[in-house]
Amino acid sequence: MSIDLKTIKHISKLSRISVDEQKAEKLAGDLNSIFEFIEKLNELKTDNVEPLTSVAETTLKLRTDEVKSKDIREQIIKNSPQDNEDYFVVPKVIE
Amino acid sequence: MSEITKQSLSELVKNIKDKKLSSEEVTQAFINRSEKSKELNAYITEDYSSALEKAKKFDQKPNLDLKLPGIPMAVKDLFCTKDIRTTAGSKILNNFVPTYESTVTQNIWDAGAILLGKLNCDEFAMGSSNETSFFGNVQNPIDKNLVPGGSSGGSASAVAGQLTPITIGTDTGGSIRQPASFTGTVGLKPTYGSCSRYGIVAFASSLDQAGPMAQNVKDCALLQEVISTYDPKDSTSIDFKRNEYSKELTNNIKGKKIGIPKEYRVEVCQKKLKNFGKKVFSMQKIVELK
Repeated sequence: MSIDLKTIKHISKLSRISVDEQKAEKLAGDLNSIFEFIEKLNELKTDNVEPLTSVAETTLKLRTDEVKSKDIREQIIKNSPQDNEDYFVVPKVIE
Repeated sequence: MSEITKQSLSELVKNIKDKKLSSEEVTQAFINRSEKSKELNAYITEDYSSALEKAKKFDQKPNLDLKLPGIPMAVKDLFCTKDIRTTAGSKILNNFVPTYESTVTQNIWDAGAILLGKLNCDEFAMGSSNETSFFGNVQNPIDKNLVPGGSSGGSASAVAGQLTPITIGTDTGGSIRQPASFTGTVGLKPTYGSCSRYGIVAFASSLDQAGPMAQNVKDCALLQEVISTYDPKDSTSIDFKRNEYSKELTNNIKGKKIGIPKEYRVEVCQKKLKNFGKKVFSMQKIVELK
């Protein structure tokens, strides 16, 4: 897989992070070397290796589905940058 | 008695229990030392005045049965602390004030400890040198031209510089162990699931784990006893019997098995392991004897 300038610009637009031309070239180089490194993993023979999914052999616990937090509306919206009744108000990002 | 900030956690606990030191004296000593060590840039948020208030309150009615009686300590700024800004070293969370407390820090306060402040770290714990923090680089107390490692770089620097007697960090791929190594302190990444992840700003959830950082192994064990609890709020928390780790520390390793993953025994690693000298050889023998 190879990343070109066009792809960088596309990702930059999707993630809303502006990247100037010079930086974009460096980023393309960096990303390509990361992908090359990851592709090295394909050289490994893993046919007889059991997959390790977790170091702790345990299953997730079930719990009864009950409400434990009540009346925490104020806490939830406390970190909202702008008040508007019970809503989080954030800058518009979708055109 | 040696200088307060030079004392280990176990010495401080003993001196407070024997009433040779008050929590206020200890807290004030670490605050003074922190104030004089600003060039380390170990702190993101200081909470000194409220720490002193809490210490005075503790001294008025000291509960000396606790594991961390009136012990002041600063924690990595990746742990949510109720009503105290928690940034994870990022500008994005510059104004985030949690309305809840992480389980691990709650365990620490329940054991009698007092918050000194929040410690610098790589942004969202993503880094290994503490150079990616929005709040600037952290210096290694050993030499100001050295990085303290990361991501728990502020924590490692604060313990090594005696700004806090002990601290907690988080480790996803080395973020406790590597900075501890860079600063000559002791850090432990506990078994996944032994410390709750509730209230910790996540990095890679299936690998993140909180752990103790201290001047020596015994202090790490003491702190691990406090922070390791089963927590229903973390679905991957493991419900197993926690031991009193500090009491299991003896110098006798007879009968213990030390495992080295066989993947480390490829040729390249083998050459490097040899450089560690006899210690590693004897460890390899133990494995082979099995």
